[in-house]
Amino acid sequence: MKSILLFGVACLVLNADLNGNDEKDADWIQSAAKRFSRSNSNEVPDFQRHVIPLLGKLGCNSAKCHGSFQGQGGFQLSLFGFDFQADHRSLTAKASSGEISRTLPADIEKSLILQKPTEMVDHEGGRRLEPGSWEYNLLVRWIESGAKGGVIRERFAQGKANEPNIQRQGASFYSNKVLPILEDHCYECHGFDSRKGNLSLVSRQRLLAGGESGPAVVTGKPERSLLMRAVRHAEPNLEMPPSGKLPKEKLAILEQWIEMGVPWAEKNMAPEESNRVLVSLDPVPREIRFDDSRPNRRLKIIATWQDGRREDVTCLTRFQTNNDSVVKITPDGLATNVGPGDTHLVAFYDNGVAAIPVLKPYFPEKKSDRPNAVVQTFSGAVNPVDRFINTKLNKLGLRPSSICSDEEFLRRVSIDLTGTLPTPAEVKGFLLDPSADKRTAKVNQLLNRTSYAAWWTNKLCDFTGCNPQSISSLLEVATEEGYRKASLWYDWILERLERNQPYDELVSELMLADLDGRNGSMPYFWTRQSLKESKDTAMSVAHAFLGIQLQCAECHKHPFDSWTQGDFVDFARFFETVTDTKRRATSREIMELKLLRSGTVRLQAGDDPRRPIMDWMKKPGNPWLARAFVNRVWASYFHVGLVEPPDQFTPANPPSHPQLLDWLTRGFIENRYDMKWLHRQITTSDAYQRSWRPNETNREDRRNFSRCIPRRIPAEVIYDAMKQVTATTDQQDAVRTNLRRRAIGHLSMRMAGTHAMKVFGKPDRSLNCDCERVNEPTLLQSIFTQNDPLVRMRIADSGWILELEDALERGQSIDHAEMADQAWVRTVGRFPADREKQRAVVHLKEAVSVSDGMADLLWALMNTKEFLLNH
Amino acid sequence: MNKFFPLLCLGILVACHDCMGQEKETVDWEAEYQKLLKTSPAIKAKIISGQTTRKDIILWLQKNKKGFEEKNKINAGKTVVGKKASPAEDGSFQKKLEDMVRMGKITAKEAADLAGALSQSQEKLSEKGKNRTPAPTSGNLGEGKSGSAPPEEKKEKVDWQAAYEKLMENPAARQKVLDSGATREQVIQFLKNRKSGGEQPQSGQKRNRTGSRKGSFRFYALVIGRLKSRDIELGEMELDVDYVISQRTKLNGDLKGKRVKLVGISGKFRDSLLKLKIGDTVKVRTGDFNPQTGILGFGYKFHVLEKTEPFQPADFGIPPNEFRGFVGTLTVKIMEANGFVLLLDAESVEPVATSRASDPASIQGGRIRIGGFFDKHKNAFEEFKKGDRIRVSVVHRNRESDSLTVGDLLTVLPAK
Repeated sequence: MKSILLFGVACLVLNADLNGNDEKDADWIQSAAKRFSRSNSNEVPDFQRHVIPLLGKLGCNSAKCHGSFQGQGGFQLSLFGFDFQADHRSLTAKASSGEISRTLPADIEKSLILQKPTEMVDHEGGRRLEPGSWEYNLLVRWIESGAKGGVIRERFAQGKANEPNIQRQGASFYSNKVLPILEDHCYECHGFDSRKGNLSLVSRQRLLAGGESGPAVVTGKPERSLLMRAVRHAEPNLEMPPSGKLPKEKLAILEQWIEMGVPWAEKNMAPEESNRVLVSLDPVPREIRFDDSRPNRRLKIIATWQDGRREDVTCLTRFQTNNDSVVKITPDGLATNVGPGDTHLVAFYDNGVAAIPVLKPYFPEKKSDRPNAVVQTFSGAVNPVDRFINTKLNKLGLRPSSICSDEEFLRRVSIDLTGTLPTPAEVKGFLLDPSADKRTAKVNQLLNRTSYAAWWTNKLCDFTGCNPQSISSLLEVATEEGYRKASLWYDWILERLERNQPYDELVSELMLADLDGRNGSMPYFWTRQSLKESKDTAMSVAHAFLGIQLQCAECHKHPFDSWTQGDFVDFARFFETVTDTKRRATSREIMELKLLRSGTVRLQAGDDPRRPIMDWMKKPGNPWLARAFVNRVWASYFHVGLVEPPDQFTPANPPSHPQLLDWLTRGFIENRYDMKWLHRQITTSDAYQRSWRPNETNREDRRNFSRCIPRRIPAEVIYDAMKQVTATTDQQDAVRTNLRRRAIGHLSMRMAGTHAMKVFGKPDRSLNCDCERVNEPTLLQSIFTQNDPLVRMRIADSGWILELEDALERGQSIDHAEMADQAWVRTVGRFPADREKQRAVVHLKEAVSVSDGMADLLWALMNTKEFLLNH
Repeated sequence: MNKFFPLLCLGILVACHDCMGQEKETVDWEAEYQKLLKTSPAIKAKIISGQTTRKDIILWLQKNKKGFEEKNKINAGKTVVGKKASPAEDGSFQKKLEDMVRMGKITAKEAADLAGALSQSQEKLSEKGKNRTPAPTSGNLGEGKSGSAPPEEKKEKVDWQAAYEKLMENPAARQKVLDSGATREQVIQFLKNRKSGGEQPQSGQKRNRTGSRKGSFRFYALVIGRLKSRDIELGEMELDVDYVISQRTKLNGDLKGKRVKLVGISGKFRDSLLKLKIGDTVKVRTGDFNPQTGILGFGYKFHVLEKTEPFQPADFGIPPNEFRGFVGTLTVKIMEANGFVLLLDAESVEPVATSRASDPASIQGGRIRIGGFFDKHKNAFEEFKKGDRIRVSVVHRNRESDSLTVGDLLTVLPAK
């Protein structure tokens, strides 16, 4: 009886959980689905809180439908819905046919916004809602209650010297009312390339300057304006447009426009923002841990607004899963486990984004008090990195692979830290070294090599966009000026990495560079010809130093982040002068700009607008600068970032190991942005030193660092490695240290665009995206390593093979087994296994000559996965 | 540390070495290298950091020595590549002046003044050349740092005539002045403007306004030669020059038969360099030439670096003598469109009255090369492809030149 009772309680709890009924202590307003479930509801929906999110949930404002730039069927909504004024205008306007209004308060059910999605009239987008449903009722109530729009924030109430509110309203008037008239009736003769009578209407300045007949308008005075006299056809010789007089409504619009002072929509005009500010979006539960007994969980999303209102917005929230092989989710928030692993569910509502961690262990977690706990062998990890990694592995029930061999470690760390293969002598020395801390010692040794600075300079050049073509003007591209400037850029960073300048100082010097290059500063980051507009510069700064992608917000609210067009426009305005002039970095006027939702900056005329951004970035609490770099460094070692992709820090893309990222970031800052400290922490961890060989638990894991994931060697490293492999014995050091002739060194810029670099994915550095570097293996790469003239040249001109020929000519005997050993050590950093060695010896004996045999052997080894992968 | 500092040190050091007459018949380069390391910490640092190597430095020292020897030979009156012979001596300058007068660029009086002035400056140069120590250059490494240094300006009263003379002593500057057709007065005005701040050259690594390397002047040429060596990493090659086609006929002749170095091959053109084999005949478009080092610079915008057939004048559109001086219209078939130059098979010719060709029909059935598709014909050029037939007006202004210049008429004809 007792067990039946317990079972009943358990079922009740489970049912409550599945249906989201754990609201008995809830302090939030019920969901819209409940409040509008009846058609006679007295509730009044809010435009921003309910109507726009509902349209988003129904897919109306998606890029495929009315959110596209052309709209759909003459009806356009802002993409992802954050331009409340424009959306309200569209929703309350007449349809493109001009016959029916989209919202008809007098005959609500005839409103197109109800008739279309219910397919009462033909709708290309199909049936989106049912008559009588809560969604339908909500829209009905909105129209009934007056179809009010968003509450626009009085952004400029306190006065903004350079951009009074009236200007914004005027700009909106211009864009929506005046510009269509000009485009339809005037631009044919006075727009873009046409300027009849020397009059152009493409900018306010040109309009005011007028044409051959004098100024076209007198601001504020339509009666004295030539334009009005012309469009009214008041004078026989001055009738515009010549095709016929404009209707009265259009004349009235033009008159009103001139009375308003001829406002113009300047570039970088963002939509007005709402006064309703979403403070937080809280999921219930905050995380989901599936087990075999509970494959389903229902999510609830609670929105908290600045005015204190809390509301269940689950029914208005869009959901997505970041990995549908782990979890799927229905539109109403029911999450269903699909397989083991960890990922996030993401909820979008208004401009809020909430990520909910989801985890399903691969194997049930072993309790630490159980004798056969799989985690016991590594629970005492010394390196804090491993503590964070192991904690998560415990949760997932994953057992990490064992530590890799010394040969694997040396090759791996040499490539990752210095972009260079170890020399045969180095391999032999390391293997013979009996000391316990030889790996740590090797890391320290590598960090002090110039090749470390060279390789990481190359990476910093990737992140910051050091591209010879983009630095130069067209004329300079015609010569080699771009290459020279790119080399100077490389050298500038190299010098700082060689003396281990703190990362924040390096960034600061780049950010605040004198644009004339005085006092040893590096101006080319700012003077790149590819940065044509301030928005380009803004995106470049955000990508290079903050690890965020702002470009979506240029045109619409960012779909996966909280950035709005307003945020983007304000951030871009910081860079107007520097981008426009490429010589001056001082603000032209007083400006008050939001700094990526981190407060407001007031700039005086003459201030360097880059300085407050740099000051903000260097603050210890800044969420981007240090984290972005830490994550990129991590991604370089593991082929996957803690945040992946590494340059997409968004709430919808949370880190796989948030505590680890926090700890490394904090440590990096506490250690005064010491890059070597960061490299050391990572490369001395067990997580980094694990074998690539999977065990029975971690074969499927690619995200939790339970084993090494083999990754293709970067383009520059492959180029250098081939050269090193074929070089003479006494040139081994020289080919590694002569940066003038290394692809990770000074050749980096000059080799960009060559076939070899393209095939292996060296980035052009022309995009604001870490994805520009391609690390994936391709068929073309195999063709390259097998047949390319470069590979053939390297082998044909191999100094090492010539060395062998010389030795033979001198009558020295060649030990084939020894040759095989050397070939293996040179290419893959280990000695061959017996079977491998036997095959090689047989081949060398059977070859026409030793040099032919060695050429074959080197070719074969350079075509192995083991050579091309870092493992 | 300024990147060029060690090179500068090297230059000064080598120059001093040369000045003091300490050269020996056989040089102990290792000792020279060690001495350099002791005297120049900057170079030592570069060696340690791997930015340059011992071998590079020694090679560089050797090249500098050779460079100075060659320059001394120049001063002794011998003609070698990179040294422009006296224009007054070879008559080409006089011819150029005549052409300029005919084209209305300068008056006859201005031409006479210019010829006189140049003759004087040449005499002065010869005088100086006898005892002059060549200015230190940095050879390949420094890409010529001393070539086009502006004249020293004094704050007190400036002798502009002397400044002009001094400017014209510089081969690169002189070539530019000649190219521009500027008069002495115009050049002096330019110098005055520059002194007053209008054209102040900046310190550091600022290059010529044309974008060419410092010490070099613009030299748009098609060079045909046999590949003697190449360095795919530094983007350099050496050619034994078979022929040069450009508007600078004197220089074309100077380069012919010489072994010259060409530098500055980067990006995708390194793939072209990689595919070439030693001994291949190569055609390459250049962008500039350094008269002091005799080094050519690769011309990026023309996109020409490829293997070609062994040089035969007719294949490359070198016009027969009877056709030189032609003015008129050609009906032609395009055989090659590259670098704003067309190589054409001539079908028919229509000379105008002013044509100076003794036998215009001599080109019929042969090949001809025309250039000058920069401005109004630029778009048309980009659409041309092999096999197109066109009717085009051309003028062969300079009979010494191997290339004709496109005129106003340019019509695409239907294929035959």
